[in-house]
Amino acid sequence: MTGALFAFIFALLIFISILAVQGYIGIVYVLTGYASMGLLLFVYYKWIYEPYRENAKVLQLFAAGYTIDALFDRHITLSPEMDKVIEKVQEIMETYEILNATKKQAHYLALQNQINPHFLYNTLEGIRGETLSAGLDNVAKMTEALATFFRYTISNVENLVTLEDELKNVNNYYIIQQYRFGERLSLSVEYDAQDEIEIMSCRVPKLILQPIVENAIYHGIERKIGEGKVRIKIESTAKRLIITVSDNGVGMTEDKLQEINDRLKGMPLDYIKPENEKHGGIAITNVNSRIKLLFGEEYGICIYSTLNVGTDVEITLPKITERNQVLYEK
Amino acid sequence: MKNEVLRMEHVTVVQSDMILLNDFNLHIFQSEIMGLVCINTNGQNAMLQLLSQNAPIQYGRVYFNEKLVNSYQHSPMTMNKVAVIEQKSRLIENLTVADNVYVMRFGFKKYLINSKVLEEQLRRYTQDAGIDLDGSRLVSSLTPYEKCVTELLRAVVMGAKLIAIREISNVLSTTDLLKFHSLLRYYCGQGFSFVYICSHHEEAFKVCDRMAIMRDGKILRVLGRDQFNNENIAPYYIGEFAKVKREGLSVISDKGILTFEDVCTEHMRSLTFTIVKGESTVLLDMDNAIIQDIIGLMNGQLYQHSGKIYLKNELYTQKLAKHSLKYGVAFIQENPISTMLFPDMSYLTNLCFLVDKKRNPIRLSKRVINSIAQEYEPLIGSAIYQTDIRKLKLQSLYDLVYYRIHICKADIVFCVQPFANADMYLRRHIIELMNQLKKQGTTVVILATNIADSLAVADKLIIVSKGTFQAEYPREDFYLFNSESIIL
Repeated sequence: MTGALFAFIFALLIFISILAVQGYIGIVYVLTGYASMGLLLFVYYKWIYEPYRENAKVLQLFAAGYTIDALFDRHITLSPEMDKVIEKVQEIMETYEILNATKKQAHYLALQNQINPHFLYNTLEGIRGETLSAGLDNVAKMTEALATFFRYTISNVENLVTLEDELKNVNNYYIIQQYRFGERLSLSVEYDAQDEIEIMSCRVPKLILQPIVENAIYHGIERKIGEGKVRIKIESTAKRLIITVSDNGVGMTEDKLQEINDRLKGMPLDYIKPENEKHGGIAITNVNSRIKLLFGEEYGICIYSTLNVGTDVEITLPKITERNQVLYEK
Repeated sequence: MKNEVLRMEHVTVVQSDMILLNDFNLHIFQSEIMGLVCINTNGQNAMLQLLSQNAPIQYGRVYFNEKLVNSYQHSPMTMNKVAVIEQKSRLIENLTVADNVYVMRFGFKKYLINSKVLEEQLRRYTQDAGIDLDGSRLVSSLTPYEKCVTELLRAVVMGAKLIAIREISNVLSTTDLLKFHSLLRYYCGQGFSFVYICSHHEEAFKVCDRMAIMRDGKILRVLGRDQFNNENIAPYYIGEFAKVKREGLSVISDKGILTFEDVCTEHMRSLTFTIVKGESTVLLDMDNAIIQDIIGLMNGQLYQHSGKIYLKNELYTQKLAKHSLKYGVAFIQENPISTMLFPDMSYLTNLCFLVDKKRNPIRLSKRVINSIAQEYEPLIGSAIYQTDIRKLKLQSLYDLVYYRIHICKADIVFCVQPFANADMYLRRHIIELMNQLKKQGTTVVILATNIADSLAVADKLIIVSKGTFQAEYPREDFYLFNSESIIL
């Protein structure tokens, strides 16, 4: 279609030029002809071709599973009917999303009821008391860590917590794991000391760090011979919080890495599908999807990994402080 | 809190079904030098192009100063405030430094130019940074270092938020590179950010705050300054070199094949050194001054003001040097693919090019060519029968350059900056080709301005500074340069 249009314009220009050479029309008409054609081409490119190309690309990426937001966030409308169709799709997807989220929440509540948290905490406190009386300080410390870990995981149901609380939970998890790995496992948290107060008060979605650290330990360090190091590096900019969880574990192959990164790039709803649960890395996919659903596609997780070297998981989040928390919770 | 100058997020660029950037992620903070060590050159151009202009991308997002400037949804084709400094200067040779810095930049709108005002303005910048550069000098008279500094000043004056430095160690000597690094650090302190693209991690270690390793248009890993050690690089980089077998000495001799005795030229000051037969020697020119003089003296284009040169214990005069190949002296120039090959000739014709000019020349006949083809096919492969060498891969073309010298059975070969512009895989291949020459008994002399990679093939290192001999290190002492080069 485009080719035919260009061929027609080109033929028309040649025709005008021939007429001018033969003296049938004046040079002013020729120049006007060329200028009009140029204008026509510009209008065609800017108003028809470019919007069409951008729309086609968005639709392709949506079909390939890379984006959802872009479909609903188009700058140009192709036709009112098309807009209505997209609106309907958005409506259906939101229902689907809410439905799934509700299902998950119901499942989660059922689990919570089964556990009966207060009974669990009381029992753990009881064990701790007994072990302290028996002089088993280590067991008491471990039980305390376990109780605190469960309390944080099960009891608090709010979406956003402070980074400080999230790090405390990671530390509790580390204390529990230390009983298993001993000196073989070390955890360090690094950030700019000058920004400590600001960084620690930043709000992050609950339980985004512990699953990543757990992954680093189970998939990276557990299978490694020698000392395992997990490092959490936190950097903050005006708009973002960048948290990198690195381990010096066994890493993964390039194919596996590509597969996971492709999945992380994809639609945040994909992880809900049962067939995806066959593959590994559920925790990371889950955290990534939560971040994308909460804050948008531009945030999320990216993984760098090399076999026998280690893995770096980079989490990018919006910088949410106490002041702008309300905006995000809405 | 840090200021994020650049953020490239899941950027994928595809051109003609070729993936140039593959899920590329990179972020650079203000006042930071971010190293980008490229294991191969794939995607480097695409990344730099994308830094400068917000051209269409297949997927991903690009942010400058935390503002979205380019995304897969919309690429506005606008320009970003990014300057690129690379080997090939972007300065106008016939204009002065001040003109290049002030006039030849975006946003300059004056019609009447007062050179003195410009020079005075420039002087303020140079004085603050401790740069010794006269604004009235023509760019054509500048050294490579001064050209780089001029480009840097132009970027600073332009207010570039991010300055990309690409492979400059190929044009700067070791001394100049150190000076340039300290300038980068100075401007870093002033709030400028840099992305320092290079092929050698040792170079990045010296100047960068963080470093990303890139291969095939993809970031493999990002290292912080506290992680800058060979152990962390080994799996990506040095590990490849571990596969290269080091070639021992094929000729055990203590005789010098080439001796310079108090040689003086425009840039040499009583230069004295001896190259031992069979040994691979790296001649490190700290100031990038004498390499061309050595080549000139060895091929007869230059005559020394004083001193003597001995080749195989006989006086090597300018008259003899004009027929250097007959006396067993060969050269491999810098960027040999563009300077030493004839693209219109077939592989075999290129390969046999020096056969009738070498010592004991052979008249080229069909029988001789066939015999050479049979002898070298196991080493070169089927590429030897290629009629259009433009269709060949870079490695095959390097084979052609090195095996052409191999056929001549030269006694000594001078390789000028052999690893310049080569990615890691090619550098490894060049080392293997040099080992082939060494195995044949040819003495290899590497004329270099930095030692990265050179020591992997060398038996001796001679350092020349300010045109005169400074030090000599045998292989046993190479550990002293562990942080500068890969040592096998």
